[in-house]
Amino acid sequence: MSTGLAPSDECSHDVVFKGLCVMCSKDVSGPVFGNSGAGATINMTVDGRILVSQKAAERLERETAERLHKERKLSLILDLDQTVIHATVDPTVGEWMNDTNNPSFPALTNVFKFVLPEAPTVYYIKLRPGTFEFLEKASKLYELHIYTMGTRNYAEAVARIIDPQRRLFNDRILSRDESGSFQEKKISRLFPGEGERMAVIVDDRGDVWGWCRNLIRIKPYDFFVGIGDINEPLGANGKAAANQLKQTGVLPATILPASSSSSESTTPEAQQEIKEDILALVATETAALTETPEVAAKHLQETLSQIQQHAIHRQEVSRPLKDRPVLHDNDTELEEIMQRLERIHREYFGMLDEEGDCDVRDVMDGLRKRVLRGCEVVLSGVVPVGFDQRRHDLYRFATIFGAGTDKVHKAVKQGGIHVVHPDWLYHTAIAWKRLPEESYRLVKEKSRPTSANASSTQTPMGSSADQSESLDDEVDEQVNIGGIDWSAMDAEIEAEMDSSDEDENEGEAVEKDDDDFDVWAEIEGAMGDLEEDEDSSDGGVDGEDGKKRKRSPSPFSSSKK
Amino acid sequence: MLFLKELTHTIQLHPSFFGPHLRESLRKRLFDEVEGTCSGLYGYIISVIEIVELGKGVLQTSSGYAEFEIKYKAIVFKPFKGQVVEGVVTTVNRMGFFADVGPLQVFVSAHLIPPFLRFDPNSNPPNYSGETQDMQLIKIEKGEALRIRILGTRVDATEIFAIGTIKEDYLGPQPDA
Repeated sequence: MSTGLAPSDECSHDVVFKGLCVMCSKDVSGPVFGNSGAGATINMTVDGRILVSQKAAERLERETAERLHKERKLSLILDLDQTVIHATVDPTVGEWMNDTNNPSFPALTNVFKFVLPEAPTVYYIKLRPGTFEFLEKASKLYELHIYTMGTRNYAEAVARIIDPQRRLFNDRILSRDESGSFQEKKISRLFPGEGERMAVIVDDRGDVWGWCRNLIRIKPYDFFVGIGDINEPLGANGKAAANQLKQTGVLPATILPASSSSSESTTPEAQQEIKEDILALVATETAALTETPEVAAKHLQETLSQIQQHAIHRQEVSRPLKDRPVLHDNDTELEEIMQRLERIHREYFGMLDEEGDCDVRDVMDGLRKRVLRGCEVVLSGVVPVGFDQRRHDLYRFATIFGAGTDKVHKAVKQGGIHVVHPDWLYHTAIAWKRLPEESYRLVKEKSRPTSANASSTQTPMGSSADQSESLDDEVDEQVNIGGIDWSAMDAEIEAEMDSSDEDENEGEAVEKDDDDFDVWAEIEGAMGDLEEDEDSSDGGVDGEDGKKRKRSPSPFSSSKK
Repeated sequence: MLFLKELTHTIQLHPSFFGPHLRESLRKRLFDEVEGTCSGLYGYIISVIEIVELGKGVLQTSSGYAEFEIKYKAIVFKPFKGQVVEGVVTTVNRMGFFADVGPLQVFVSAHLIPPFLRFDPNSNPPNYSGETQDMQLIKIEKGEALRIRILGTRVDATEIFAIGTIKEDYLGPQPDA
């Protein structure tokens, strides 16, 4: 072990164990060790007990590269949460798993659970469909690594599930405890040298990796949440998926209780029911005027309890978690990712054999560039003013996938140009395919002359709150799709509310009975609830909306009520 | 090496322990506080063997606590350079392997493993394996017991680390020892 500078008999302390050079067993910790050039600073092991110098790290990596070339394999860095598994700590899942009558029971039969030593919390783990096949296939072409933001114990526990024999990952598991950062993942943590020339990453988040070139982004796997977005094709503005992106954009790789959403459009029957309920309520109100206070109160109570039951029933119907096998398992992302991985592997080794040298990043860039080749993308009103658009995710997507970007306002006025929702670009970036622009078109000019402008200016994708606002706007536009004119209904209700207010005042003038007041308060409370219900079913048209999610953080908690 | 050593330890006892069980609680405190700790001078304190003298408690005027200076005998473990120890392998990677010698962590670098033992990255669990001259298969993997010569130590505030070698005769895994 000698450097060119040091005399050949002096140890360069390339590998150090807790301050002890492993070669000459000298204590190289303290400040006496001033030889900064040879300092061993790179952590090559999982537990960080051993530090190596840059030189030694490069040597080790060259050895790895040679070995992998011999085995005709590349390295694959795999994220866990929402990439190959979906985890929750919601105890309702456990209840359902024990209840054979529960409609979701069949889907939950292959949900694994474990408890970590540090806390009694039970973790429920759902594997993405095809995980075992994916890992099995991938391990033939790639050497698999796990890189997760979960804790060490969590990563080990999940690894025991997806790789019981420790055959696929061996000890190549890196968790947040050792990664050295809670915010970002770095390829250099695993491959400090040229190993990144052979590493492919599969993760549901790109930002933690700084959108590095080795990354294949996978659509986040959302089993315990909005099921709609999995069934839903990417059309219909693909909002569910956008929501999902947003959601996962906030909290990476942590296990959250899945956010709530029935994510089902309210059925026409349910809407009819709501309408009937309202009419019944109105009828009772009117009747109250002609009856004695006691009778009126009784009537009202009956009607209200009826409405309550209806509401419960509606919730059961619209909330798929209750009476239908909810948790659909038709996610096929892993298959697609596998095809991509196979292709990258094929092209890499094809090029390696031809030219003797290859970089997996060039291969991946090549594949991506073909997606939007020849496309010009205009980001109009998407990037907030004052923000360098070259640093914006969408700009990066567009350029990574081979499109040019230029701000050309007049293009909108010319024919043959698609004006699309930014989701188009997001989804294209995930699918590595140029998706049909038709499904993402912002064609609301007829109903709202400025809507194309408005909705795109209101959509600074960086801020999720704003995005949900713009989505809400569009919900309004889609109100008629369900076949029911909600705005007309709203007006109707408001009109009735107004008139009943007046009635109330009249009644009050005649009768000053305290009980009476209570009843009115109840009605108004009920009306409030009703309106809230409508809000959420409105949201249901498109999957989920921000408000709804805030109100009930878990999909299961509200069904328990 | 293991030594029987007479040591002292000071305990501050809260007044609520003053009573018939005072001695018992002192004993318990002593065991809790010293066993398993490590001092740079004497090494790891493995086990308290006997209490030589509990001492007279001296009341602290400011706090009301009683201070006891306890003399006790304990088995201590201090590794020395050049010493041969027996350990159990805990982790194996391509840079070498870790072994536990009681409370002591020893790392043996791949350079200090005989060259006929090679690291097999695809093995599960990871191991160094190879055949000796008399065609005996040797495997170093997690859980394997072996002999290591300590080449150097470093004493931390609470721990001791050591670098070892098995690249010598009669070191490494012992056949039916």
